[in-house]
Parts: sequence; structure tokens; C-alpha cells
Amino acid sequence: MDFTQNYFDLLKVSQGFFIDKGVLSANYRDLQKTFHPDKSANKPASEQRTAVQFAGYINTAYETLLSPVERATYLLLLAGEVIDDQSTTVNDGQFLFLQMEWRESLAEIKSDRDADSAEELLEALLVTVKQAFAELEVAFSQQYVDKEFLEAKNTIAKMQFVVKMLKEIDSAEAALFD
Amino acid sequence: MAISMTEVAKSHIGKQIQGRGNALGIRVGVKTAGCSGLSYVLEFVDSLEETDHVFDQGDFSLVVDPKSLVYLDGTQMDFVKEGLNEGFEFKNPNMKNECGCGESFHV
Amino acid sequence: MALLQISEPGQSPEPHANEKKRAVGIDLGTSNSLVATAHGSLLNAGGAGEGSDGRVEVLSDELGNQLLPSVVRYISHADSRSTVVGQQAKIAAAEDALNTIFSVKRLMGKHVDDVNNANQHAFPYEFFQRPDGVVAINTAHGPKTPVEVSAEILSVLAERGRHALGGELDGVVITVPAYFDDAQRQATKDAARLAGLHVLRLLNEPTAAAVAYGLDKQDAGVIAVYDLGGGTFDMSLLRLSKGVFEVLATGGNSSLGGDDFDHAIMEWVCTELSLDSQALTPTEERQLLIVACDLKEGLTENISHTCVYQQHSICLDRDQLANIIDPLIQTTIRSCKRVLRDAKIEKNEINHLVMVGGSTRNLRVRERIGEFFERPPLVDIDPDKVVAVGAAIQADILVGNKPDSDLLLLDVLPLSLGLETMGGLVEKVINRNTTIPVVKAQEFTTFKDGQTAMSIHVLQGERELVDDCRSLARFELRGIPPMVAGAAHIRVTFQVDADGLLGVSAMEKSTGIESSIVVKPSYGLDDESIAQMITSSFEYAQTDIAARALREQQVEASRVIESLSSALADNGRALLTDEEYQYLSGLIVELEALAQQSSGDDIKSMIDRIGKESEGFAARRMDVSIKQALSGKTLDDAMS
Repeated sequence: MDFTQNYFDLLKVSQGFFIDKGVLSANYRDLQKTFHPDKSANKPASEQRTAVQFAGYINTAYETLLSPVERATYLLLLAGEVIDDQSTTVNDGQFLFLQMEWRESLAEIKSDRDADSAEELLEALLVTVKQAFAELEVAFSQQYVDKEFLEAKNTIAKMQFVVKMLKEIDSAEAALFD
Repeated sequence: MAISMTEVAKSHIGKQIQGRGNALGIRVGVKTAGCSGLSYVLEFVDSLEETDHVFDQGDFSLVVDPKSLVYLDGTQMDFVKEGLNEGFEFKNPNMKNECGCGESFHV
Repeated sequence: MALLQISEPGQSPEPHANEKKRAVGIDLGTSNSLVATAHGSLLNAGGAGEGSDGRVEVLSDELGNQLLPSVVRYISHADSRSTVVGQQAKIAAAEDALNTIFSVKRLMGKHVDDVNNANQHAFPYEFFQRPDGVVAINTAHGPKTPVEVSAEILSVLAERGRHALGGELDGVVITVPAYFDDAQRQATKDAARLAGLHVLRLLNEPTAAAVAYGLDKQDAGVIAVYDLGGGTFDMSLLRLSKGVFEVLATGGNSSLGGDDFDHAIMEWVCTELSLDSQALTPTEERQLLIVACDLKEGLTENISHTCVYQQHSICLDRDQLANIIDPLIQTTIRSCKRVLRDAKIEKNEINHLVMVGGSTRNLRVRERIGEFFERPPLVDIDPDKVVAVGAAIQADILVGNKPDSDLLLLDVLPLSLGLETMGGLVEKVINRNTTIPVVKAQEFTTFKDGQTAMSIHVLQGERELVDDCRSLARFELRGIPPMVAGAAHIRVTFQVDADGLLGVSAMEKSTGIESSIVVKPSYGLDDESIAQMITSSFEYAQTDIAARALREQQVEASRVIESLSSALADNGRALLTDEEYQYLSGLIVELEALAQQSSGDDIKSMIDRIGKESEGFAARRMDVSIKQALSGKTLDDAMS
């Protein structure tokens, strides 16, 4: 068991931003079929402890590659580029303007008294935001291939904004249905 | 008192004795063991005991000790394939029940 | 039978050369508990009979009952004490409400404050305040923690397993509600330890149910499990693919179940009868709860049902029942919605809806949940047994009986783990629905020059404020090398194992010094308390055995005294010399005195002595009675 193995190598998917999630999940399940602690439940305690750690490592690898933002961050890390959450800021005026627009629409929807129209508007906003996220993914992939790491970091910061927005839409949806 | 065997069982035993070389025959019997009482014995025979019953099967001898014969009277031996497994099966009319795994039985 | 191969002389293999190990699955439920075993484990031939399921057998007691009511009664008389578990305890509930513990699962891993804050009315017991914060109940045997009460139930179930499998168990799988937090899981494991059981795994109940169904269906797809038991509610979504059950999300409420239906119905009955539900005695309350439960269960068969309470007849119909319990069902539907969102699954992607738990027998529940998921629920496996069946399958695999099995369960952490930060806020370290096991490291630094210690507070829950989450443990990191503020980097590793239990370790990175961690659970039983409980249970086991032996000998003594006295009165004077007569009479007096106070052993040797000393007298009496019998009869008459 190698705890320093690259996540892409571990899960046998080619290193890059766009990955085949079907292959990723299938390889993940195969790995766990071998290393999960359940497979060593009747073995000595020391072996069980190692199994917990390695299965934990496999889970972290899988989770990292499953999430676009984490996958992007991990790719940069492998390239020697560390992202510092605190210092990365987005200076793209147009993007920030878009953000404000989305927030305003969300606030409006939340104050809407008609649940049906609120649901419809929320759905429309969700489509827009998801579209914006997909565009950022394409942008990152290109920047990564071109080794434009500064821009790539900027794109990740934008992705984080959008993910946060998606979460807020999700919780607004939850509030709507409860 | 008698033990019978199917033609398939006979031919498999014959082949295996030939494969091993210099065996007088095969011994079948029972011994006490297991969670449920008795289990079967199935072995090549190199030497006979004085009290053994010997049944001629043509190509080879079937050897049974007198105690076991009591438990095995009327048993039919067969050779069967179950999926990837193959081997000999005893159909024993004296058997009342066997344990979950089928490796031992009660009479 | 197994197929045989021809062996070399004298080499016939012993049967069971590949000895199967003994493993059982235990469903430790709020209202009822069960134990089951897979046929891969060694079943005692003819011991348990054939179960309804071909592969898994739910074990029953000597009367054939599979369900063991999760009820423990502590009885204490002047000279003896005993513990009764199951149906016998349940029957006595109303007459001995304070010493008969019901629904103890709802108290597992709870803090005293949890019980005080919750509707204390739900528990008609006297609570005892332990210094470590663990809830305990005052019983005739002294204060008992929920862990000890649960251990009694586990012991009875394990004994059933030992009996059926013919020996000591190699391991058990115990199911817990998926929504159980760390403290509740730990308490369950402690109970098993107290009962002397080796826990292979704590398995989430909905996952166990999915295994029981999934193996039947043998296909791929998404399974929704709705599990409403006596005191807990769980909802899980799983994806099944080539033998791997991946839990996508789970949610629920670890204190909502059929018990709450009963309480809601009881409140309704009180209103109907103009009773003040807050002013009931424990016995009245237990009786009313029994009435409520009868009303509820009667409506499964009939459109309306009538019960009698103290000469009042009470009638409830299905529409009224729906009104009473709909708000509770609605709460479960809200959880279902959240789980669907967490799993990012649409209702139409679900292939099977599985119903688990006794409370899903309730037709209103089936109707509402079927409506919500827009499909009829699967109920082919008895909802009471399905969890135990799944646990038995998993136990058989984990103990090592099925090395080639493809089955693998990937479960998730039900509630987020976080740390206290400035201002009483919680920062999440591991999010809920993360697949376990999970290992996550977080770095901390000192904020003062020369700081050598720091304290870390671990919490579990989804809320933002420390006060709204469950406090799991406080860790003291000591021995940090003195450095300027911010120079020390302490790496704290949080690990959640496959049982969903948390472990923590820490290291100062720049120096590589492993910081000594003083783990102080916020509450819960520490190792010492458990060790003490185990010891005291042995202690009592010995006094219990001694007490029983004494009682048996006392009964035997009075039988001997009775028969010898009547023999002496009958013809002692005629057959014995004065001396002999006095001697035997003296022995009776002696035995009478001994039986009052002595130990069982002393009484026994006195009984033996009387037996010997009175042999001659007995022989003479025998001769006399034979003579009497023969007198006036021919020998043929006497012999026939």
C-alpha cells in the first residue's frame, strides 16, 4: 500500500481535468473490494488499522477527483502550484458583476410569496449558474494544458464562488419544499 | 448386506486406481467425527484387515469393515458434477439428517 | 451432501476441516431485538429448524419466539436479585414500572441534559446523575446505565446464538440506526463489550436491510430504504452495482419512532377522557400506552378499533389515527427530501423502495410514503426481521466464512464532524455523507509566544453554533515545543473507522514531536467505568449463583424435614429404639436451624448426613410396608 501514490494513478484515470467518471467509479469500487476494512475484519488488529487508513486514503482520492474544484486544485498541486485560500481574490469586474446579479435574483426569489413561480425562477437561475460553471471548467482545462497556472488559479477561485452560489440555491430550494 | 455403485462411479474409481497404480481397491466406511456424528471414509486400499468384507467390482475390490457395513447397508455410491465441483456422493438410506455443510450425518 | 474424493489410506479428511466460524447478526431494536445467522455459519444439526429464508435463519427462543422484546426488569427481594429480559419483563411492566426498562435504545449515548430537556414524560423512570454525565436509571439493582441495560439484552440474544451454533461466538454484527452519532455508536459498542461479545462491525440498519433485499434482487440500481422503528427513523439511499452497496446519503431522526405514535395517541386518549396527561402515575401511564399501542395495532386489520381503559371504552378510527400521526409522518418526509437532495437523486431514479421497521406495518405510513416516492413499497421480507437478516449475511462474510464474496458495503458518516473555533462557532472538518473510513488532517498553530498546550473541542452536527451540536470530546495537546506564535504547526488527524467511530491523533510538524493527547470525552463511559461494570457483573454473578444454590437447598431441606417427620410420626415409635428416635428427631431440629441461615453447602451436607443416618429406618419401613401389602394376598396378586 502506497500512501503517496498520485490519486490519478491510484484510481487509474489519465491525469487531466476532464475524466471519465464511469471509469473512476468502477476502479474505485474495485480498489475498495480489495482494501476495505471489511476484507480484513477477521485479521489481526494491526492489519485492520492499516486497512482503515488505506481505505480512507482511497476515499479521499476518489472524493478529490469526483469534485471539479478539488480535482482542479489537486492538478495544480501536482504541478507545484499551491493555492492559498486566503490570498486568492477575483479581480474580474465582469464576473463580479454577474455574481451580484445572481445574488439579487436569489434574494428576490426568496421573498416571492408564490411558491410555484419561485420554483420556476429558481430552476431558471440554477440552469444559468450551472452553465457558467461548465464554461469555467472548459477554461480551466485549457489553461492547465497551456500551463497558464496564474490564470488557472484565478479560474479555480471563480469556480469556488459559483459552487457557493449553487449551494445557496440548493438551500433556498430546500426551504421552498419543506 | 450390500453397497452398490453406479456405472459412472465404477468407471471413475477404476480410472483413479489405474492412475495411482498398485491399489487393491477402495475402502468405504464411516468414522465418528464432526458436529453431527459420523462422516464417510473413502480411501485407496493397500492392505486388508482380517475382518474386512471384500466385494468384487470387476476391475477392483470394494472393501468395507464390518462395523461400517452396518451403517452403509443399502448405500448407493454415485459420481456427480455440481458446477465446478465433482466427486463421489453416498446415497445412504440409513441417514436421518446431516449437518448444514453435508460433511457429517446421523443415522 | 458434500462431494467426496478418494484419499490415501488413513488420510480421509476430518469433516469440517475448513471449519466455519460462528457469527450472528443482531438487530438491537428499540422495542424488539432479534438475532439471525447465515447458513454459512455452522448450524447445530436439527437445533434450530429451517427458517423462512433459505440462507439466513432468525433464531428463536425455546418457545419459538423470534422477537425478543427489548425490555429488562430488575427484581430484588430481601435475599436474592435477578434480571428478567424479554416477554416476561414486558408483562410485568405496569405493576413494576420503575424497575422495568423499556426503549433503552433511546437513552443510548445520551447526556443527562438530553433527557431533562427532552420530553421526560416519555420515560417513567427515576434518573440518576452520574458524575461523568452519562444517564443512569435508578433500579432495584441500583443505578443502571443504558449500556448495562442493553448488555442484558445482548447477552440473551448471544446465548441464543451460542445454543444454535453450538459454541462460543467468533463475532457479531450489531445494527445501529444510520443516524446514530458517535456517542450513540460508542455506547452500543460498549454494551457489546460488557456482554463479552466481539463486534465485527456496527452496521447501519438501512444498509443491512438493503443487503437483505439486494441479494434477493441481484441487480443494479438505486434503493431507497425507509426505516421507521420503535424509537428511531432512518432514511438511506444506496446504489447497488456488482455486489457493492454504496450509500449515497443518509438522514433521519434518532428519536422519532412508533413510540411517538403511541404517545400521540395516548395524548388523544387523555383528551377524550379529560385526563391530565402530565399528572399520570407511572403505572397509569404504562397502562394508557398499552391501550394506545393496542388501538394503533388494531387499526392495521380493522377500520375502527375499540379498547377499554378503567371502564371507559375508547374508539379510534383510521381517519382519526391519520390526523394524530400525520404530523409525525410529515417530519419523516422532510428528512426524505433532504436525503434525496444530498444524494442528488431524483425520485424517478429510484428502482426500489424498501420498508423496514415495525412501524412501517402502519398502513397510514405505507400509504403516505408510497405516495411521496410515487411507487409501492417492497414489503416481502418481514419488516421486523429484514435488518437482522442483512446483519447475519454481513457477519458471515466479516468473520471469514465467505472469502470469495463480492459483497461490499460502503457506508457514510451520518453527521458532520467539526471543531470549535473563535466565538463558539463550529468549523466542519468532515462533512456528513462522506464515505467511511475517512482520514482527514487539519493543521493548527499557536497564537502566543512559547505556547506549549492547546485545547481542541470536537463536535458533531450540522448546526453553526457549538451549543447546537453534540460535544464529542475535548482534546488537550500538550508538550508543544515553545516557539514564537504561529511557528508551531500541529497536525491533528481525525479518523472515522468503518463503524463510524472517531479517533484522533496529533503531531507537531516542524519538530516531529508526537504531542501527548489527553483525550477527555465530553461524556460517556470511560474504560475504567466499563471495566468496573464487567467486574461487578461477575461479582453479582457469583452472589446470584450462591443465592440460587441456597434457595434450592432450603427447598430440599424442607422436603426432607417434611418426609422424615411424617415417617417418624407414622411408625417411628414402633420401629425405632428410643435412642434412635431421639437421634433422628435431633437431626431434624439441626437441619431446621441450618436451613434458616446457613450456606447451601452446609445444608446439603446435613441433608446427605440425614439421608445416611436414616437409611436403617427407611429399610425397616420398607419391610413393614411390603409385609402389609402382602398380607392377605396371594403371591400372584402381589406380583401382578
